Amino acid sequence: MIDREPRGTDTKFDVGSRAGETDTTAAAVAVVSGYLDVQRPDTVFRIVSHLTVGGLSASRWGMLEATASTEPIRTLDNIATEFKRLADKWREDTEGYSSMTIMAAHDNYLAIVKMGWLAVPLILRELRDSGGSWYKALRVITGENPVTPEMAGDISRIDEAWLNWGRALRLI
Amino acid sequence: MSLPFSLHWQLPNLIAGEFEVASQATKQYNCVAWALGDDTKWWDTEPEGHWPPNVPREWTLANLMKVLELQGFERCDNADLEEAFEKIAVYTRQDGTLTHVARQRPNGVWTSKLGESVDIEHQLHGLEDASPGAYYGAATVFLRRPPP
Repeated sequence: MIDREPRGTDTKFDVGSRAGETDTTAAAVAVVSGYLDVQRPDTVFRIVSHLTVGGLSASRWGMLEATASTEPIRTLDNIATEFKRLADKWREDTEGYSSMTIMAAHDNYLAIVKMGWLAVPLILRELRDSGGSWYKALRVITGENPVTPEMAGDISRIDEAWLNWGRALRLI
Repeated sequence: MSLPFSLHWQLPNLIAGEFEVASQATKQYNCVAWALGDDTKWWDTEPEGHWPPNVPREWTLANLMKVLELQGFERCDNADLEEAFEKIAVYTRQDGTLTHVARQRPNGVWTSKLGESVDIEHQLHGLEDASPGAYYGAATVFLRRPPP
């Protein structure tokens, strides 16, 4: 859960745990998705323990403090609901296609990519539970690619490579 | 085994004619693989797909033709059943977008893998739709090779 409390010119982000949602995930996405601008010199982090995602560190348990973000404030609940709506419609419209390129050109897929790191845990859960060609979205958002050329065409191995990547980062 | 509800809407001519669902849904292989008799790999131009090394990884009809030629296919004029050949039909939209590949069985019935969904047995025109926003468009290119 990510809450925001206006405090003068600053914005306080509390990152905590809740049922069905790991604090680790919440913390990671808060930082890497643009809620907090880590490049700004006046951004302050109180790091209790560390999680590295995409080269950035996030607090696992504690509180993140930062000056105001330019990003609109969204709760993870809202994001998950929006993701589900986009993903379901994408699957409905594209499940008969055999080209990942065509599937990834769908408006809803592009909208999910635009959600950035916030979508990554949701994509990984979707991949684990319902399948789908989410690889391009994961590559574009994260800049990572755990899939080796030898895996090309072997969908089970590719899924497992991404899921292992996500597990290593505690995103799922 | 059944056709996903969404594909009922996307493929109206399939529902209007005769077809049979022949497998469970799986994303282990796609229509290109199935047309080539491979049910173990997803043939695609994205990095995650299996694709011959000497063919550009861009999803176009021209590149698919190169792949099929590497598999022993040559262009032919029509989809008519010929005992000495196995045939493939390539579907494209009006704008030329490559959308689908189907394979003809020895009895003349066509078989297709519908993306990440099921295999079906169908009539060639069951997957066709002439409208601009058609899902697969029409079977526009035909190829043949001696049975493997």
